[in-house]
Amino acid sequence: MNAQKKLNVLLVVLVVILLSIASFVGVFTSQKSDMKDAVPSYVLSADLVGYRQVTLQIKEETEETTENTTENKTTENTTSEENKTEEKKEEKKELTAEEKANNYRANADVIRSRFKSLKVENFTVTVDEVTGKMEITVPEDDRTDIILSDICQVGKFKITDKETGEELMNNDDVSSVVIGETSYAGSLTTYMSINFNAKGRGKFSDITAKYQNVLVPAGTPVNTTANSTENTAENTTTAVSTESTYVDKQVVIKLDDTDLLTTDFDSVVSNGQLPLTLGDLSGDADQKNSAKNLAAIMENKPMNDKYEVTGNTYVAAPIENNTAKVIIYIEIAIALFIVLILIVKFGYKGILASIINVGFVAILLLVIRLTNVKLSLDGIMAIEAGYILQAIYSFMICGLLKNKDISTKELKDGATKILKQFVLIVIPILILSVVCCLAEWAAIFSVGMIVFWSIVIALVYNFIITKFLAR
Amino acid sequence: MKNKIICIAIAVIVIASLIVTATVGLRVTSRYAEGYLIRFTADKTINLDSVSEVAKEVFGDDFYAVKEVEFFENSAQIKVRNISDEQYQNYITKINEKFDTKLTSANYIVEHVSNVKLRTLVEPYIVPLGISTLLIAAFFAIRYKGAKQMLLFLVTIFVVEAIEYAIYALCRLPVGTYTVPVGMITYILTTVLYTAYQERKDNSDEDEE
Repeated sequence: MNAQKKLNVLLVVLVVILLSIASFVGVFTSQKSDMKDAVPSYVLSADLVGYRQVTLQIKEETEETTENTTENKTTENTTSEENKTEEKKEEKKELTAEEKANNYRANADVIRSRFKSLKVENFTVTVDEVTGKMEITVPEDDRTDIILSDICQVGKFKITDKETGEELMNNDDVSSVVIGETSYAGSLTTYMSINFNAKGRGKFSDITAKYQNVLVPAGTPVNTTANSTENTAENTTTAVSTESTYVDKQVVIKLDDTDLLTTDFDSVVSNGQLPLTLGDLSGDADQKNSAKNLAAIMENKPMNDKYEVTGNTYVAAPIENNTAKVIIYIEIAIALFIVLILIVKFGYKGILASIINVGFVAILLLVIRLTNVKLSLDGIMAIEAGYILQAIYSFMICGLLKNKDISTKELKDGATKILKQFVLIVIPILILSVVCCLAEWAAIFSVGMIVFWSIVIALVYNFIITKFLAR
Repeated sequence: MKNKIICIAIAVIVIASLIVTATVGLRVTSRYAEGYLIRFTADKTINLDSVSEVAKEVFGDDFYAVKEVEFFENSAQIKVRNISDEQYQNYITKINEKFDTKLTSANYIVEHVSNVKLRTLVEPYIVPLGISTLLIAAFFAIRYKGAKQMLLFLVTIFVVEAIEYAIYALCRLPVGTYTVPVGMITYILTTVLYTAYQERKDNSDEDEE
C-alpha cells in the first residue's frame, strides 16, 4: 500500500472517529455555565414513554334521577315518563346475553373507530362482554387529556326541526367530518365540514331547500305549527298574513341531545357538505383538538350504551423500555456478528469496512436526531435494517477488493458497477419507505423515515468514501 | 425432490400453526392478556422490585408484570392471570409487611381486563405493506421483464412471514409490542436480501454470457 492510500485510510478512520464521538457521546458546548449537548436528543414516540389506562363502565340510570325528573312534570307527563321508563326497562330485559355482548363489542368498536379518526396510535381497547366494562390504554402525549375528555359521549348526532323536534338526519347520513383552516380577510378561520354520504346528500339538499329564511309577501297563506299545551298533538293552522313577513324555518344540530347550533340556510346546498365556522383556533391547540374530538364522534356510529370513566391513571412503560433495551442489545449483537464475518472473510479490508459501517451508523443516528424523526420500537429496528443494507454494500466492495491483482482502472470501474448494482438493490425498499412515509401511523412513519434516510446516507456516504479511497 | 420436501415441510408447519391458533390460540404478553390489575397507592415511596418480589411469592406463575403508576413513585400496579380471595389478602398483608404500611383492601383497586384482539395490532400495517408489496412486485416485473421474479418475490415474502407466524404459534413465543415491528423488519430484510440475491444472479448470468 503506497503512502497516499495509507493517508486516505487514516483520514477516513479519523473522520469516522469524529462522527462517532459526535453521535454516540455528543458535542458538548458551554451554555450559561453549564455543558450541554449541542445535538438534539432523540424524540421518542408515545409507545416508549408510557400510557394512560382508562376504565369505562356502563352508567346506570338510577331510579332517583327518574323520580327527580318526573316530580316536575304534570300528572299526565309523569304517567308517560313512567311508561317510557318501563318500556326502556322492558327493552333492556328483552336483550339476551348474546345481544348484550354484541352491543358491548359494538361500543368497543365505536371507541376504536374514534381513536382511528383521531389518529391515536398503539391504543388498545378491551371489553368485558358480560358487564360491558372497557379497559383502554392510550399512549401519553399532549392531547391525551383532550381525547379522553369526550370519550364517554354516546355520539348521537342529529339534525332536527327546531319547532317540531322531528329528526331529519343522523349519524347514518354522515360519511366524514373534517376540521380545516381557511384564510379569510387576512385571518385564519377554523371550520368543521360535515360531509354527507350519498343517502345523506339528498336529504341535506331537501333540508336546505325547506329550511330557509324567506320573505313571505302580504296575503300569502302561511302554515304555522304549534304544540298544544293540553295535549302533545301538533295543531297546524293556516293564517293569511296582512303584511310581508320573514318565515324563518330553522334546524338544530344536536349531539347527544345537546344543541350545538341552530341555523337556517340561504340557498340549496347540493354538494352534501355542511361547513360550520368555529372561529380562529389556530393558536389554541386544545380547542382545535376538542373540535377534532367532536368531528371523530360525529363521523362514527353512536355507542349503544352510556358510559362513565371510573379509572384514569398514567402507567409508566417499564416493559416497553425493557423491550427496547433488549432489541438494542440484539441489534448490537447482529452488528458484531456481521463485523466478525467481514473480518474473517476479508481480513484487513473487513476491518476497514467495519469501521466505515460504524461511521454510517453514527451519521444515521445524527440525522435521526437532527431531523426530529420520532423513534418508535419499529424505528429502532429499522436502524438495524439500515445497517444491514450498508453491510451488503461492504460485502460487495470487499468482494471486489479481494482480488489482489486488480488494477486502479478495474477497481474504479468495479466500484462504479457495484454502486449501480446497489442502487438497484435499494429501489424496492425505497418504494416501501416512501409508502411508509405517507402513512399516518407514527410507528410506520418512523420506519419509513429511518429507512429513507438509511438509503440516502448509504448512497452518498459510500459514493464519497469509495471515491476517496480509490484515489 | 429437495424443493418438494422443503415445500411440504413449510406447508405442514403453516397448517400446524393455523391449527394451534384455532385450538389454543396465540400466547400473548401481559399487556395483551386477560387478567386482573391490582393497584395501590401508599403514603411513601414504593420500590417496584420489592412489589414484584411479593407478587411472585403470592401469585407464583400467575403473576405477569409490575408497573409504576402516576409520577409520585408511591403507586404500583401488578397484573395477574387469576386471583383468589386468599391470595388477595395475602398480597395486602405482605405488601404491608414489606413497606411498613397499614393499607387495607379499601386502598386497593382490582379490575378485570379482557384480552386485546391481536387483529387491532396488525390492522394499521396492512394498507402500507399491501401497497408497498404491489409496487415492489410491479418493480420486479419491470426490472426483470417478466412475472417469474415477481411471483418468486411474493412467494418468498409469504413463506418468510408464514414461518415467523409459525414460530410464534408453535414455539409458544408470546405476542407482544415487538411482534408486529419484528414482522415489518423481517419484511424489509427479506426484500433487501431477495433483491441483492436476484441482482447478483442477474450479474453472474450477464458475466457468463
